[in-house]
Amino acid sequence: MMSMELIPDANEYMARNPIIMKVTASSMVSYDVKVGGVTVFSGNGQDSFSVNLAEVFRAYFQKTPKWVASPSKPWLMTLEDIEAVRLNGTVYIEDSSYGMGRNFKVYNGGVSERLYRSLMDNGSDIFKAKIMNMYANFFWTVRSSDWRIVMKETELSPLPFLTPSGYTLFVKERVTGQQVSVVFSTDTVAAIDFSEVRRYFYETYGTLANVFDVLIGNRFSCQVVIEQAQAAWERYTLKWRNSFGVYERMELVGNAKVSPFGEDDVETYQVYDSVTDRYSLRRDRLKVQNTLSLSTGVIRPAMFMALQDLLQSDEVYLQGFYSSDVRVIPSVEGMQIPVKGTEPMAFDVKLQFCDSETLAIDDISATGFSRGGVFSEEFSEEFD
Amino acid sequence: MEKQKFSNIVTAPEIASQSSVLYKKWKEDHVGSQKDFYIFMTVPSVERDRFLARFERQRLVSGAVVSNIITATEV
Repeated sequence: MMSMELIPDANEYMARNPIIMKVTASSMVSYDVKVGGVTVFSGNGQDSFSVNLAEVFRAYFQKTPKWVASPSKPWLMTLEDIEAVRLNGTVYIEDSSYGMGRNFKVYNGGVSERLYRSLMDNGSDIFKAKIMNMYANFFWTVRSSDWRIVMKETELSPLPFLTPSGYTLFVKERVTGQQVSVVFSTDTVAAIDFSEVRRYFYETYGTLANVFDVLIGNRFSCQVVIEQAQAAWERYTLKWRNSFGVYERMELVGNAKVSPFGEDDVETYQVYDSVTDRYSLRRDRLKVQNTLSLSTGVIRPAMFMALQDLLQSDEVYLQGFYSSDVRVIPSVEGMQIPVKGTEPMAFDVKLQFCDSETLAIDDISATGFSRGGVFSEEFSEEFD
Repeated sequence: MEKQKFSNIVTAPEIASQSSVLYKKWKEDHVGSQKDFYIFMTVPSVERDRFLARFERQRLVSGAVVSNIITATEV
């Protein structure tokens, strides 16, 4: 006889939180862990043993979440490949006479150990409390854990969520009360792009709205507020993979100053000069590892946790510096966050570029070598 | 780190139903289509602040959120 249980007992798991398989048997048991039906890990165990499967699944989240707008609803986005955020997992065990298996879904990301323990103590998990809780803030954002999500107008990015199958989702703007809706018939991962929702209301009704209520059926779920950003001469954004495994954006302002040269010793060597019969000094091209200093601008206490999530993230990109994203390692020196913060604060962020360069040349775009027209976009070639 | 003394959430500029009137006023000293006006209104700039300062605004307060609804009436 043998038995298997998954702890916690659920159909959905986060890959950065434990997925404990506990097997009780009286003989040798072999087990297979499958992703999308393909065996990716196998093992054996004797008698009673436990394995944390989360580590296995974590290694198989290698794709980048790319959103594609729905043709009929440009504000609703779906993933090009859902395996970027969700894997179909299976675990199968068998001994010499009997086999049994469990299917479940594993999502990229996780919650803090403190929250995980607290939810478990209350017989809940992040899916019941947030992700599949239709009448709360179910979006995969770390900006807010309450019912109001605030995004600066310069930080808009699609807000992902698990679609509530069989329900209708409404987004209602608060200025004139117009709304858009979508009915979900399948259990999948989608996202709402609130910049496109705003554009839709403007183009359809001439209304420019920045406060949106999200409802499931007739019931209120949460509110999304697009906050005014300050005018800034220089503005960049950091795109980071948040704790839920999807990208969010935070703006950085200020006068960016690059420190290309570190304090590393210059590598030199000597070359014999036969004319003077002396050794002459040479050096290789210098390796440059850019470091950038910027400010977050003034952010409200609700965003302190998002900033912490950004600083903890293993995948952060700087946008707006070059024509393409630059992977960076962010840090805030001597960061101190008030425990009961009530006042907005600004933080100085240091960004170390991940790639070092030995050659320096500015960006060359696809049309970089051609002379642009006088009013290139507005006027025809004949006019120029 | 510097501290600031405000914590209300001020929304980006909003327009209830007079976007076409505001667009005409914008066209008086700008060049562009409705699409350009939309971009102008949704991207923070000193120029946008200067343009919006010409008009009366209706403020709606809902908890910590302060909405700025721009009207077509000039100050």
